[in-house]
Amino acid sequence: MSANSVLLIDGTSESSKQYDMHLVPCRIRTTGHTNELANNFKKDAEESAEDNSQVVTYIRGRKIIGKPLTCLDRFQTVLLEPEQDPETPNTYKETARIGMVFNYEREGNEARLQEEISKFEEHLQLADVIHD
Amino acid sequence: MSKRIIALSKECNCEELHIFELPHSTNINSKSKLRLFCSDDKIYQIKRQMFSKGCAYNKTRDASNEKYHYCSDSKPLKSGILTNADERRDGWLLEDGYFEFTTKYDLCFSLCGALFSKAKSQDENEYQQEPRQFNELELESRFLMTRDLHETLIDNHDKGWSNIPTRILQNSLQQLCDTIEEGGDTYYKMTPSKITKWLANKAVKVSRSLPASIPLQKDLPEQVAGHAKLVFACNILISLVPQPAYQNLIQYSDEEVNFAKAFQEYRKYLQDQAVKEREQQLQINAAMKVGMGNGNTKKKALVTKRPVVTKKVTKVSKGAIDGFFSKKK
Repeated sequence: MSANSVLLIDGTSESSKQYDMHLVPCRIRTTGHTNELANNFKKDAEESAEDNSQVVTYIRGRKIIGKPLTCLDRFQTVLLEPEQDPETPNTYKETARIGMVFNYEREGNEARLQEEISKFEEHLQLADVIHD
Repeated sequence: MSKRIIALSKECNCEELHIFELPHSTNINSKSKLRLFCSDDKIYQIKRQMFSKGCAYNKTRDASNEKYHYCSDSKPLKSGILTNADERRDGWLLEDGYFEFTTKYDLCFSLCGALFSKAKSQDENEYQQEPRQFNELELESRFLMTRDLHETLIDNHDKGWSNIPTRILQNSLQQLCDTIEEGGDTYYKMTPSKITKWLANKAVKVSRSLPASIPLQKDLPEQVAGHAKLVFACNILISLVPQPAYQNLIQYSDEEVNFAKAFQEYRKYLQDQAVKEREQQLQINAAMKVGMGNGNTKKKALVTKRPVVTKKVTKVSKGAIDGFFSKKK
């Protein structure tokens, strides 16, 4: 990731693809496209809240609990990919939008989950107070 | 180059954002440069957020509590998965589970850093040391027009200033500079006193909106609470300003606010509280021992009497066997 870069945001991306982002408490030693989510990583409808305020799912049989970062509602979250054109180095172009962002922790570690999300919200509020 | 996920403020309407860097406003060597961009006469900072990771400030405490666990390569246990609700087969795995986000950035902090750019520090612990005198300010100490001051910043401080539009720079200079109007032009000169005044206003603003997690005691007397809030506000701003600016701030006073007194009074209150607590603890300890051993907890020193061994003294007299034939008493 270069420091001096250019971000191209598509202002009219209403019809573009939209993903949800899930930050899971494990290390996946690969980066890339997958079609294995068709039958995996589905939320447990019985244990999850209907309004998505709490999501329960499983990774390799281990239960993980997630909460949405509602503080990002006032942001537009975009997925950017590097431009392949060598004439425009360090340029990233929007390819999709991110709908909701969930942060997960393993079952029993919900206190840390809540604490980290609260601290992040505080950070955003404090930055507004200091820099506005 | 890999994918980037950035949460942009909805106020950013630009379709093309040029990200550039400026030195960290604290002039602390270990702090990385600020990543900024301009949009609609405002400046935004890009930061990175990764969960399941402790901050440097709490590193020792987290390690002793085993709050966080990391991979063998010291990376946090956090990866990302992107799911497409419309097409589940379209998913992405991201080894590093983080995203970037933007917050507004007040350029005055960077101007403050530029003015005190000679005052480099290793970390904020140095801020508590005796104030150093900085007579030599990095920037030219004369009145300059915005354009000339901008060039001075580019030449003497950092090339990244060239990305700042003049009108944004001018807005910030108006807050931090003494000005002279001459021939229809405005000339600016940054002064430490103006910076301190601006910073004091910031600190007062922060003290009125402190984050909920700040460890502010709830049973503080009203006046002490006011002092404590100012102290915490200054300690929050410590991470954004260079050492001389912080030292000037904590000694600042005017007709509305007195930081020096706030620090002094709050410190005194904490010391008094500590003494009271110690006394209470002693009283509790004494109360708990009432009735035990008739109140006399001192052990008597044991006196051991050694048996006196009387040695027979053999008289020494002349002759080899005189001792054998000693005289009867």
